Amino acid sequence: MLLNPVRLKVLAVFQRGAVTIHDYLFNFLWKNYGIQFDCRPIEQIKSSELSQYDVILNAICADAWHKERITKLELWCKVHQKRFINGIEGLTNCNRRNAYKIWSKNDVNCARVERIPKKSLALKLDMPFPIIFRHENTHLGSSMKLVRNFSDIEDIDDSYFKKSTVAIEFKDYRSPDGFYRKYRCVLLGDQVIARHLISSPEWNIHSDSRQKDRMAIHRQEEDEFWNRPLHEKDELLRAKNLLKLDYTIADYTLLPDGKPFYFEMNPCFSVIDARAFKREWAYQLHAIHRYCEAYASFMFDGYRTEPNKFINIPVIL
Amino acid sequence: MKATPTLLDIWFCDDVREEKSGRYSLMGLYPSRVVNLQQLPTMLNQFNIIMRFDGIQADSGLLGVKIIAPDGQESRPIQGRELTPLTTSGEALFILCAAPLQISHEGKHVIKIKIGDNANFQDYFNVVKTSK
Repeated sequence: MLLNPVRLKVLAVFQRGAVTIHDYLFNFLWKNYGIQFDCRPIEQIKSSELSQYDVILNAICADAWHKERITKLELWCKVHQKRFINGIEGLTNCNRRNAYKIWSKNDVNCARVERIPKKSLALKLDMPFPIIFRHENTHLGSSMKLVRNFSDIEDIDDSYFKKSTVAIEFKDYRSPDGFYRKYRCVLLGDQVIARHLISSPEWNIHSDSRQKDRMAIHRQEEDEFWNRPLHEKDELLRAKNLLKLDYTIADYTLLPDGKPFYFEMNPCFSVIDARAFKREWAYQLHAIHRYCEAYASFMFDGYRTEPNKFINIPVIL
Repeated sequence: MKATPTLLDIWFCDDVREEKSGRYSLMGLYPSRVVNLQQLPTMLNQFNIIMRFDGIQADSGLLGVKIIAPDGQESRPIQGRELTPLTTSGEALFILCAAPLQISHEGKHVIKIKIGDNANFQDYFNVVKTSK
């Protein structure tokens, strides 16, 4: 087995019990680039330990948890002169409401967002119907509701409304062919990697939205997305830089003028779907490996690396 | 005059170890381009493809490799890697360690190798299903 010597030591900080970087990315970076990740919960980190690492990666994806600890860690990194990825300002800015405030002032296309911690506030919303209700910091759109009038709001149980509940203006982003298209790119420093494109007759698109009887079309659309020049790259980087994030994913659709309309932008690490290791889905490995390669380059930012004489990866034939 | 990249050799083996001297030990070297398997589809823990080139220069461009199964299933494992010339004639080595490797069909598996925009090579290995 060919292995690299350790070339870069990264402390990846996450929250206890939560997802940190994916096993696949972890192994890819270790086997192919000698990037050693120590994944540890933020509660355990001490200032004195930072000196043994080259880079400190904050893998916590929102500011809802450990805000003070992240702030403190960022300060320690400044003291130790260590590169710190995804500071607290970026995590705070990428909350839906904050991102809307920043982007709407800077000509970035996104939906209006209002907090609705109480049902009474939802009933007073001055926003055209339909409206999307959801909780922040939840995945797969599981808490998402589309409300079409005040009567729909009345029907929602009071317990649904909490501090993290938001109302989002609905953008009908259906293409002329009747399908909705959601694009995902990964943004790492100044690199932008096309990750996936999902089209669906339903507006609420998530990873399971690909229809089995349209697999050939899904694959063709994704191939075109991965291979075409990414004309929206500068706009994506501008939106990321406005939020002051170093690493993030961007979910968006493309408007008729070619500009992105953002659904969300946050530093999630769930960009590797286990299905990609099944033969019929293995074409996805193409995008996954581009992401992994870009991640390695992102980690080495500022460090000189020699090209490898080998690559170690799964091959599905 | 600019040298033209050439594919000198291609070998297939189970494992490759890099020795402290910088040399490589190849284990389970396949004596031909034939991979005999008792069962299909199957998963091999490791399958290494060693490619040796000549005429590589610093500006030869990136290496890309893809493998195409007999039914057209395509693997595009390498997105573009730089090759390092080891000698003045531009000899260079690259190892694709497929770990694991899933093989689903008997027949000719085509390996397409590209260096930069102009150098293209094609090779193959054959998968043969043997009786138990």
